Amino acid sequence: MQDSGHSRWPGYVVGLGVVIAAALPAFRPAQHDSFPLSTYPMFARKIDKPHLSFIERLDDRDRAHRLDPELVASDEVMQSYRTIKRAVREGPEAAEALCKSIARRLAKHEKGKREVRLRVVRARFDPVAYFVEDAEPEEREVIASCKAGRNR
Amino acid sequence: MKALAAFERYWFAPAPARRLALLRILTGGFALVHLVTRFASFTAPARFGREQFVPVGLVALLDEPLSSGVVTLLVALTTVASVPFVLGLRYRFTAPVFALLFLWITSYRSSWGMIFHTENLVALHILVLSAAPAADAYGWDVRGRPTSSTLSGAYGWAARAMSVTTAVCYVLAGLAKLKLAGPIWLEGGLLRAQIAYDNLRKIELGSSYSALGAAAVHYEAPFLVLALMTVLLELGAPIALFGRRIALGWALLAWGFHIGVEALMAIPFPYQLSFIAYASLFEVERAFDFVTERLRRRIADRAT
Repeated sequence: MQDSGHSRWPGYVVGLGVVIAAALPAFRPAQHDSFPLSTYPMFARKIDKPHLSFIERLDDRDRAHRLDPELVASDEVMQSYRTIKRAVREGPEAAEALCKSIARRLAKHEKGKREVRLRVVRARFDPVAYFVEDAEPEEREVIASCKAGRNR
Repeated sequence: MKALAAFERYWFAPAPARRLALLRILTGGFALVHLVTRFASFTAPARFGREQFVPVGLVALLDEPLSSGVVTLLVALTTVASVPFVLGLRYRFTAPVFALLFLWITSYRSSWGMIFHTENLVALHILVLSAAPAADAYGWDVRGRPTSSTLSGAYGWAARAMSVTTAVCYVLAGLAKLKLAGPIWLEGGLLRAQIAYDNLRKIELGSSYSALGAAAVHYEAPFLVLALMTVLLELGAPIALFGRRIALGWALLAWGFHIGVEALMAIPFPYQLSFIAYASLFEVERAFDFVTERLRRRIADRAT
């Protein structure tokens, strides 16, 4: 291929353009993330004792079990995490709506064979103590609960 | 003017058409496999509620989410469009179409509250390749014709741009740690807490987690070393642009870093783990020749 000025313009416009665009997030606050031009803030934030919202299913003996993330939003655990976090942040009504929609989906999936009882829980953990000392959450609050399936 | 000439010599350093073509096949091939294996995850947003929609990048052009049919159709179209990209079929037309579709669906997947940092680099690399003459060798449209061994700057800039983009992304990740947490990040405590929190979150959200990461947080000392190595690797990424041997050393460390992330946090970065993310740093055609020659000899030995 002839190496002419004409054949070089994509190298400047696209090649150099992509490099400059990829570097631009360096000049904005690191928490202002985007895609594909990211500040890459993952693993960078300070973590003390964060609140975590999750959904638990109660069995016949009222024992709590964690739900598969796919039943909440998608098989991407972080997408499920954001879905629950957003609903909890928006208030009890939004948390209850999410709870009901998951319970209905689950009851449908199980063809109504078992009653589905769910709880949306918000708890505060010390992440290192959770593993090192088997520590329980420091705070724990049921934001919403719901039922679906048999006898409903 | 001297600086511009020096820049042009660097940016448009002559390279063979085969190098660029192999980068096209590797990167496009990765994207094709990724799209097929993650098809359900790419189409999952079709089920999400409107209130979860937080558009990022190009998707910010939308006021409302797309209908589920359109989402599925676009993911399917992107998967189909990756095939001519890999084959080098009508490349000047099909490559930009694929690059834009891939950028769109990866941006759309990241527009629901979670940004998939595993896909930034491959989306940017595909954009670069789509504008380069990457199908002048090993392409459907040039099949049967002898591959030119002529070196040209037109084949050199794309690999340069991909390599510099890779380095930039790592530097930004290092900067983010210092900007958000400050020098305290280097002490390792935050990394330890991050690994603990990530695994805790996975357990409480019913997902699989890293047993190794959960065990490792019992100890403090390793995280000081890991934190220092992480920031050094990230901020030091530009050294990979100064020679193939240094690039190999850096790329192996970066690859090891991603193995570590997978082992301690169960977070896979498939593009980096495949090593294809670093291929632009090397004369991939030489590795290709080495492998094909070994295969040819093995087949010839078996035949005799």
